Amino acid sequence: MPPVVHQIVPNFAFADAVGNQILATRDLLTRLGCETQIYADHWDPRLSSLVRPTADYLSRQAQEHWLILHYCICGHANHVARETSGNLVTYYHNVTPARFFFGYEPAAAACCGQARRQLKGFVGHGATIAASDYNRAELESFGFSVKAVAPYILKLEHLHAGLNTPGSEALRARFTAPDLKTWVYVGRIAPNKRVEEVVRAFHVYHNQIEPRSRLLLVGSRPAGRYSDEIAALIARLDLQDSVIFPGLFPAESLGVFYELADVYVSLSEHEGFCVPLVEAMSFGVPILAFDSTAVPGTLGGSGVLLHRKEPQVVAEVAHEVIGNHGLRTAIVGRQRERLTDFEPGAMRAQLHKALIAAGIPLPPQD
Amino acid sequence: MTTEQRWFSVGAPGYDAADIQARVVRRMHERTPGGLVERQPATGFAAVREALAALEDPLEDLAVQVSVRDERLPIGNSLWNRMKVPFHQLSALYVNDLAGRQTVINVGLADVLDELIDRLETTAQERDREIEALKSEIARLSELVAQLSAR
Repeated sequence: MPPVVHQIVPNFAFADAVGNQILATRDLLTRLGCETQIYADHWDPRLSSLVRPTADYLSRQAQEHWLILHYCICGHANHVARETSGNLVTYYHNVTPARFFFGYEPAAAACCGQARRQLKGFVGHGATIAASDYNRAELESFGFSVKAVAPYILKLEHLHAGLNTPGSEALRARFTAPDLKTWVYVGRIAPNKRVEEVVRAFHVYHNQIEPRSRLLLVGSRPAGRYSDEIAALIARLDLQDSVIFPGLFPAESLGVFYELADVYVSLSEHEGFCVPLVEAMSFGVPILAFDSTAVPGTLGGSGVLLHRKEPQVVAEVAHEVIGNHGLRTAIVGRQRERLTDFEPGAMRAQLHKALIAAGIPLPPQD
Repeated sequence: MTTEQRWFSVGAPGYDAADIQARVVRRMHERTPGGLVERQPATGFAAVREALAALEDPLEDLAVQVSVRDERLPIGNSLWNRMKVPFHQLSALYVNDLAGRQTVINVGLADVLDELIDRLETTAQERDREIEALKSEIARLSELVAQLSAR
């Protein structure tokens, strides 16, 4: 009889890395015949049919079960999980350090600080797995014994399949510009992502190297001081026509922007995994990424790993990668080799093994 | 080229990062007299934010560890060294209790400072907008006065 395995998370977001991994875990558990339910404090309305409030979990505890806590932010769900009468498995996705939000989002800073402090209270409670080697190392520095690493199961085939939809055709018609060299960044406009540094580097590239260029900043743009500062920076540098926020678009059409990219640039200073790097690999886009946290682990020796990121350095390296056809081809080739390490079947098997290593008596996969 | 001098690593078989870097440096010098412009230190509110961010780890790392050195006494050496440990541990217990309470205060202070920076910056930006609006109005009125004087 397969075990009962539930999942719980403070915030169940749509189409972000943690949210997608929760869905992938649910798919795996369902396929193995497990009774499973997702609980959350808050969730995106598009996920309403898949989730129940955390309060509902409290009435299910009498039954013997395993509870996977997706640890990524502060929340009531963390407290409930810590006190569970079931068997706890903490799946650590990393928490952005509070310092990135100081001065921008005091509430987010307080929440992240609280989440990182309270994480240490889980040492010795149940089993722990991590979403990356970087996350594992961080947990071990806090005194955790980490049972396994389970990287994200990425639905890259959906991105490629989505290229032929009417929504994608419309995006392509709107943004295709073969005469422009295109930098692309994909992700939230958030302080730890250091989007302002991408803009400054692009400014050097656009003004000193290649005026026929543009930067596409693809991703959610939450209202707030940081977004306002990015907009003000773009205006101050007179880049309003060259730095483009594509705005809302169907999730399955994300691949269009990777298709249009001549280079993918990330100067983020904190990542727990960095899914867009793998997405860029799958579209054959050469990657420039700053050497921080989980980025080197995800790149695995592929792409260009920047050890310094002054705007001139980033601009010149981007110019080298875009303009040097042989170098570009070699980079993309090595990235495609790295991509095979993220094959979904292998990642599902790794998640399965990780959950078993964490003590969940799952049946074998077919 | 040492690790410290390496600006980037490249995953590209057949290509040497040092050669690419040499080309990058040469082009930088051609475009910008003086070559690489070092990052400028932050000023104003950005500098305050950086200073606050730098406190994050020390804020939580106040705990004291017991560290007892063996001493060489002419008599009772072994007994004395064994007795010292529990005394040190008892002291550390009280000190760490105080450190834990201080940590709560420090973290709370940091949260308050963060909120204060946020509000000060908002106020400063509102003031700047008001000043710009007043300047525009002054310019408009000055022009009007000049026109009236000319008639």
